[in-house]
This record gives sequence, C-alpha cells and structure tokens, in this order.
Amino acid sequence: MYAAHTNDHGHDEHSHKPSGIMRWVQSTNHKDIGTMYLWFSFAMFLVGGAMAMIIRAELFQPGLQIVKPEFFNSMTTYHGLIMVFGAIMPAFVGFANWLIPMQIGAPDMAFPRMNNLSFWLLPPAALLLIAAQFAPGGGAGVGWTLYAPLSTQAGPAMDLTIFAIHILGMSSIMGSINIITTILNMRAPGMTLMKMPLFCWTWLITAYLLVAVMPVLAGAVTMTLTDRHFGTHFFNAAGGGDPVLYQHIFWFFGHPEVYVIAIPAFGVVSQVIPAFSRKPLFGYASMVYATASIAILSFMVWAHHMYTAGMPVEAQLYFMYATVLIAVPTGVKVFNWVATMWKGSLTFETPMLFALGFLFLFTLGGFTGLVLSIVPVDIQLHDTYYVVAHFHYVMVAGALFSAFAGIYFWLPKWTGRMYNETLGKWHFWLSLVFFNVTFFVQHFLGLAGMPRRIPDYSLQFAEFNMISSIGAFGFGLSQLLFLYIVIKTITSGEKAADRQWEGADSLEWTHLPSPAPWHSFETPPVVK
Amino acid sequence: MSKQPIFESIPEHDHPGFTYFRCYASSLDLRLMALFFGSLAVVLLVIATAFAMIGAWFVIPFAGVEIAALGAAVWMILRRAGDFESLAFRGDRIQVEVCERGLARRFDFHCSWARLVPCGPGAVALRSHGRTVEVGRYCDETGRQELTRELRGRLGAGRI
Amino acid sequence: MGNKGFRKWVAAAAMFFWSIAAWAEYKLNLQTPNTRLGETIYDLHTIITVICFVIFVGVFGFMFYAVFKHRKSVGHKAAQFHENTAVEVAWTLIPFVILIALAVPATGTLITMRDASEPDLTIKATGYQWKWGYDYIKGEGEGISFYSALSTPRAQIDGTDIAGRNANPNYLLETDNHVVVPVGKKVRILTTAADVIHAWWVPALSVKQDAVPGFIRDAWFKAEKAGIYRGQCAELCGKEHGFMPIVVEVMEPAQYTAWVSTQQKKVAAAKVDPGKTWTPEELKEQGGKVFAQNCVACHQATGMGVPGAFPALNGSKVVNGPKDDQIKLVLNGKQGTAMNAFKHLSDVDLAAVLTYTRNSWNNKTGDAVAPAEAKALR
Repeated sequence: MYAAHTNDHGHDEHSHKPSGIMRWVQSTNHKDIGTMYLWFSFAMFLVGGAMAMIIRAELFQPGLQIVKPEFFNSMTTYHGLIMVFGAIMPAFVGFANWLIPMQIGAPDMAFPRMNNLSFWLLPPAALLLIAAQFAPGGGAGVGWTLYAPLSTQAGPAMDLTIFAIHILGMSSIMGSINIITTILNMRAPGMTLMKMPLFCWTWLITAYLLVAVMPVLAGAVTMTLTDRHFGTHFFNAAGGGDPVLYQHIFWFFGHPEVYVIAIPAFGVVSQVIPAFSRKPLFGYASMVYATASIAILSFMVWAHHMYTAGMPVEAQLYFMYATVLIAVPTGVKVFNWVATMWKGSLTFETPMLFALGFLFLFTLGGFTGLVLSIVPVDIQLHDTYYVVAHFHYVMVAGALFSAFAGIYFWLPKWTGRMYNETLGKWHFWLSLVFFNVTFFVQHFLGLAGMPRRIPDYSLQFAEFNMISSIGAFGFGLSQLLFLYIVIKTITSGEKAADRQWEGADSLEWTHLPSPAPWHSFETPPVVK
Repeated sequence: MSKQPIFESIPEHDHPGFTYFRCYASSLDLRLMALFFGSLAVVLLVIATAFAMIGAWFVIPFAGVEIAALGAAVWMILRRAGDFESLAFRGDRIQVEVCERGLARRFDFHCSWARLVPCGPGAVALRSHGRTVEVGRYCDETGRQELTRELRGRLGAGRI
Repeated sequence: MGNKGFRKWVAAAAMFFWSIAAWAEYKLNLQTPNTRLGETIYDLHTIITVICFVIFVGVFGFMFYAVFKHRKSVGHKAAQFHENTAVEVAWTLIPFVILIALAVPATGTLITMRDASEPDLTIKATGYQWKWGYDYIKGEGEGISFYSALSTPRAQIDGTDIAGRNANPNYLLETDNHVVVPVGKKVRILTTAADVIHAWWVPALSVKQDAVPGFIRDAWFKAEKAGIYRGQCAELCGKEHGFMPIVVEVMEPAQYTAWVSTQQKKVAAAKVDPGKTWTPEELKEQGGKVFAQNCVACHQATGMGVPGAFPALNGSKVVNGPKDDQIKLVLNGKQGTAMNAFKHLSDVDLAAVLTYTRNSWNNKTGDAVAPAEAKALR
C-alpha cells in the first residue's frame, strides 16, 4: 500500500553530469540551485547568528564591555538584514527550487538560466553586506529599516548596503517570476491549481507579493541614495521633503515582506502536519483562501509599524481595524492545522516536532501581534523589547522552525539518506528550550520599558537580559548540532526509502525515488 | 490511510520502437496567465502612481522595469507555448515533426541516410539529403546527450 | 525515614516560596501608570492578554489532546475527514466578533489619547544627537528653556567605575536638568528634532511620540501624583541612542510655581549683556562648557574623534585654518555626515566653542572668534 510508485528513471543515472566547481557555477538544474540556495542561507544564518551573539554578549551585563555603541548599532542592523534577506528568504527559495518542479510534475523551472543567475546574484550581495563592516567609519548603524535621515548621515557603508539591497531585490524578482511562470505553465496534465500541494500555492502567492512590493523597496533605497549624494530632498525636511515618507514607503514593502517570509513557512507546515497525522489537510480550499486574504491584507496595514511616527487619528483607527482583521485568516490557518491533527494517527518524528513547535510558538507570536495591533497599547510597546520578542517568535519560531521542519522532512528525498532521529530530536528540544529562554523574557523587558537597539541599559533590566543572553548562546550552539546532523546524513546516513514518510502523498514521494533523480519528470505524470 | 494512488504515469514507450516527444509547456492557461500578469501589472502601476503622487516618484522606474521583465517572461512563454518536437522510428524510417510558433514542419528520413551533425554550440541536428532539423531543443544538455546517444545507436555508430 | 521525606518537602516548599519572592523583583508587566489614560491602557493590555491567553489555552488544549490521545503509538486510527463547513464558518466568525469587541474600547481610548486640546502647559521637546532641549511655550513657566543631557558619569558606563554603577539606582536614567511639570495639569508635549528622528517616551506617563526633524507632533499627559518619572529615547538615533534619557519631575502646584520663579531668575541672571566684550580667555572657558554639551560625544574630550567615523579636531586643517570656513561649517553642518548644523547655538556660544577648539589640545592658532563674526556669517 505504501510502496512507492516510481517511474523508470534508470536512464537518468548517467555519467555526463558536469563535475567540479563548474557544475555548480553553471548549473541550471533546479535541484543543484535549490541546494546552493539552502547552503548559502545556512552560511548567512551563521554570519547573522554570530552578529546576534555579539549583541547578546554586549547585553549580558549593564555597561559597555565588549563593543562600542556604533559597532553595536551596526550589528543590530546587519543581523536583521542578513537574517531577513540572506538567511530566511533564500532558504525558502531553496525549498521552492527543490520542490515546486517535483510537486507539480515538471522537469525543471520555467527559466533555468535565469534561475542560475538569480542564485549567483546572492553571494556578491552578501559580500557587500559583510564588506560594509570594513568601510571607513564601520557598518551603517541605522537599523535594518534604514530610516532616513539617520541613513542620510551614515558613512560609505550605507552605499554598499543600498547596492546590496538592489542586487538582492533583482535576485528576488527573477526568482519570483520564475516561480510564477513555473507554477502557471509547467504543471503536469491534470494538475489543476486546486490540486497542487499547499506548498506550491503558498509560493505562488508569495512570489506575487514579492513582485508587487520589490520596486517599492528599490525606490526607497534609491531615494536614500540620491538624497545622500545627488542633492535631492525626498526625506530631508529642510529641502521640503518628509522623513516619515520614507517610513511609509519602507513599510509598504516591509509588511508584505513579513508575509513573504511567513507564507512559505505556512506551506511547509501544511505539508508536514498532514503527513505525520496520516490524514489529509483539513480545509484545503479555506487554507488557500486564507493565505490569499493574508496576502491582500498585508498591503493595507503597513502603517501599524509607525503608530508613534505621527498620523491623523482616523488613519490610526483604520490601520488598527485592518490589522486586527489579519487575525481572522491567520486563525483559520491555525484551526485548520489543529483540525488536521484531530483524530489523526500521529507520530512525532523531528519534522513533526518542529512543525508543532512552529504551530505553538508562531501562534504565541501572533497573539503578541494582536496585542501590538491595538494602537494605545502599541504606543507603550513600540520600539521596545516586546516588539523584539514578538517578531522573533514569528521569524525564528515561525519561519526558521518551519524551515527546519522542511529540511528534516525532505532531507531523505533530497539526499537519499536518513538523518539521525535521536540527534534530530535533540536539536529540536534544545532549540525549543533555548529559544524560549532567549525570547520569552524579552516580553517582560519590553513591558517594563526597555527600548530596543540600545547597547547598555539601566540596572532594573539586568536579570532578564542575562537570562536572555544565556538562552541566545545556547540557541546559537544548538544550531551547530544541526550542521553536524546534516553533514552526517549526507556522508553516512542510512539509505532512505522512496516514500520515507508513509503519510506523505505529494508527487515527489509517490512518483520519484530517493534521492530524487537529476531530472524530476522528463515525461509528465498524469494526475487524475 | 488506504488510498488509491491518484497519480499515474503515461507509459513512456507505447510501442517497442523509440519515440520521443517534448513540448515546451504543458499547462498553459491563457486566461489564468492574463489574469495573473494583468493584475500584477495593474497593482504595480497603482502602487507606483500612488507613491509618485505623494512625492516618491522613484518607485515608477523600478515598477516599469519589473513590468517589462514580466512582459518579457510572458512573451517568451507565449512564443513557445505550442512548440513541440517529436521523433519516431517507424520501420527503417525516422519521422521528425517540429512545431515552432504555430508552424509545423515534418521530416521523414531514411535511417541509413540520416546523420547526426552538430549545429551551433551544444546543439545537434539530423541531416539527410540536404535537409537539416535540430533535435533535442527542449532538453537540457544532459537530456540532449542522452538523446544523441540513443539516436546514434539507432542510426549506426561512427556517423558523427 | 518519614522524617527525612518530610524535611525534603519542607525544603522544596521553602525553595518554591523563595523563588516566588525572588520573582517579585523581576518586573513582569507594564510600569505602574501615573495617568488616568495610562490606567485605561494598562487595563486594555490586561484584557487583551487574558483573552489571547484563554484562546491560546483553548486551541492548544485541543492540540495537546490530539497529541496524547490520537497518536499512532496508542493505536489510534486516522479518520479521513478533511472539511466541515459549519465548523469552518464558526471559527471564521467567532474570532471576528471577539476582535470587534476588542476594537471598541481601543477606539475610545485612542480618541482620548489623541485629544491634546486645551492644555494647561505646552512644552516643546527637541531631540538633538544626543540630548533633549525643552522650551516652555505656553502656560505657567513660559519662556523657560534648557537642555537636558545624560548625567551618568562616563566612568560608570565604560566600566572603570563598576561599583559606582551598581550603586546607582538611576544608571542611564538620570539627566542634568529635569523637565518639571505641575501635578494634575494637562501638559501638552510638542516633539520635534534638529537632526534625525528621536522619540520622547516616558512609560509611566504613557507618552511616546516620535520627534521628527522639520515637523511638530504632539502628545499629552496629566500626571496624577507628584514624583520623578524616567524614560528614554525610543527611536534609533545613532551612536548614543541609548544614552539620552528623559526625566520628568512632577511637582505639587506650589512647588512648581517656586521652581518657575527660580528658573526665570536664573534666566535673567544668565542673560548675557549683548554689549559685553568677551576676552579670549572668557570665550575659551565658556567654549569648554559648550564643547562638553554639544561636541564631546563624537569629537571626544581629547579632540581626537573616532578614527573612520568622526574626524579629529586636534590638528584639523579646518580648525587651524581660516576662521570663516570653520564658522560656516559649524553653522551649516556638513551634508551627508553626522556633522549637523549648529544654528541653534547663540552667537556667543558659537564663538566660544570655536575659540575653544582653535586653542585647545595641540591647536594653537592664538586667535579668538568674536560673537560678531559668528553673527555676520549667519
């Protein structure tokens, strides 16, 4: 019953694959590119993580011990930029590359050469972000939001950063166009949109969002650049501009960007939970509609990031109502996931554990988001550690845990080998505990009044900061275990079955062997 | 969990000889494509115009570049939408049918006369009596190498 | 044996209560509000948090029930249902209703919060990198104006005086000049900034408002009790963002009146006779004070700046060059760098600080900038 229905792909086992480094540089194969995206994002995860360690080391005790304030600001800035644009986004693009062609029954992506280019734009951008640390005056300590006019007065590092963002944006757009055209154009016969695995749906919606908002980010940073060097006054009040205009533009991009990160995470979890519940996803259609509603709403709520920046009370009311509305479709998704598990036949392998960790903690982050959506309360909590805790629950326990779930879930399909289940579970429990030690106490810090992005704090915040730092070091070290698990799987893992998870029913599990052959579907499967 | 497998493959070989069929796209739905790209272009224009009206006109060029990129992608897909290439051995003849941009061409070669020749970087063609047709255009390099190997075996060794 | 077990329990209970006592020192909630509005907000936060907690427990009650009862290892067989319209409609509509119930009180509170009309006292708070300037614009105390900067000694921050830091209950939350306001009066705070965006925030007064250069925003509070309330800049504003606190001292009306009159006397006494002629020595002395208030954070007390980020004044070509160029640079700032325009300094202060830089460290131009020279170039 669970035997894999695999095609005869024997003829793909050929010896003509390009070898050596050029195989990777020139590769137009969606699996190679997916692999590169994932490794790249892990490398960036380590770089951004090291920056987080510096931040938490400085905050371990009151006083300035380790770094200077300007370097601290640079760390918070590039930690944010690198994690968002270098680690989380490329990780999910990596998933998209690996999985979308397999899940819709396509041989590859629609534009393989563009796919290659969109990956290879990333390393130079990452190098620019890292090089910015060594620019005269050090990195730009302006926060990942790059608010003007602070960004106007920053040193040359700012220009490198703007250039890096342009490159990252180009890469994202090419990736998105590729994903959209692949999904619309390369589906196997019979694979209607409403039959696609939810992961493909979430990426279709994400790619749409990305294409819609990327020009806004590009415009925002370009205007910063011209304000800096070419005498324009978009954000300079002295020249007739408005610094708050930058915030509107940035968050018009920035809020959808949050969902660009979260929605593919929803997709991964929507594959993992049914597989380990041995039960179809509850409310498939409502999941699709809920995801689309979240995406549409995400265009209408940007100013809830700037309640204190000054806007008419009517605008604040509108943004509050629109923001609380997002809780409805998000709630539908959470209820659907729980209902999927209800009366299932559950097992708890590592992917499922991470998916449950995601569900539990992401919902917690969603609730603190609801607290923050209420304007009078937000005004108390804005720019405090409460916000820091909130978005780390959504980004780390949300997106990152979902990415871990996905990697453990598909690693057998990708490598043909099984990871070590015991170590995987250790990785989960260590991450879960240390994550909460790090970030749960930050809610209290924010409530008590600790502003974010400060290198030193008054003594009343000392205990929680120390706890948070200890948690952060533990969380950072636990991720090295993950690296070890993945390398061990690739080099000496046990052979994985074609359908490693008995409850997994998308095409890559039912129709392809493990490891997946170099070309997914030379001949399209027919979906009934 | 007992479920009927919902997917099944087309048998790759419907008769003992070698047949080969490749087309560019398999699921193009013009209305869907139009809806998607049309709505994206409209959304981009609305956003860019709205920002221009409050002074941030720098969004417009980027939105323009993106619409152009989207348009180029759509154009390339539409141009290649109905394209296919099929190859079939019937007895001692090899029949090739190629359709590019709605224009279908048929070739019927004798196996012992047809030869594989290189045409352009990385591309191969079949040639017989002065007529040439490129084959394997919808494969990537490795797929094309396999096809070449397969054809070479059937057309007789050492001909290329 | 039994006795031993009992002792263990007592020890455990003692540990438990000790840990609760220890937790009492950890602040777990919003600061105690000192305004009516703040109390409303505090309650609003409590209500939302409780509602969220109840829903959270409910939803994850179901999840954990499934986790324990519907697992394969206890032999549970999977059902195959995958939709139920009634349930799906219910869990779309019920949250909707709860959200409306939340939005109603929030709307009322917000409208009160934003109504800064008819204040008893209006104070303008201007954010500078990195201190606050206050101008009492309207109401009792009109005309008072001062700067307010961090007064925690540098030695406590950089770790040369750790004992001092640990003994300082207001470490990083103390300023040289407090913003003084009367109790029970509606105080309107106008915020603006001279360079980058700052945010004026005092948690116990439930006020947080960004200070945007070139624009004026407002917020208000009416303190219920006299006392000292401390806050910090809440918007990243550069290197010393963590070091520009806000201290508001709420006084009884009579005390406030007394404070106003001493301040006004001080202003009168400090009023510089415009016809006064300054000797270079006087200018240099005054300049040292101005430098300590405005310049030292970047250019450092040694005049060496921070290599790469902030240029040294010691040995600088501009400082040792023609006076006019230096005056212009300080007056207008340098576009695209952290060097802001210092037009807000008086002619005397400007002349004084320039004289100071031209004759300090290794700079020995031997000349003095006269206030009239600064005035001429404005």
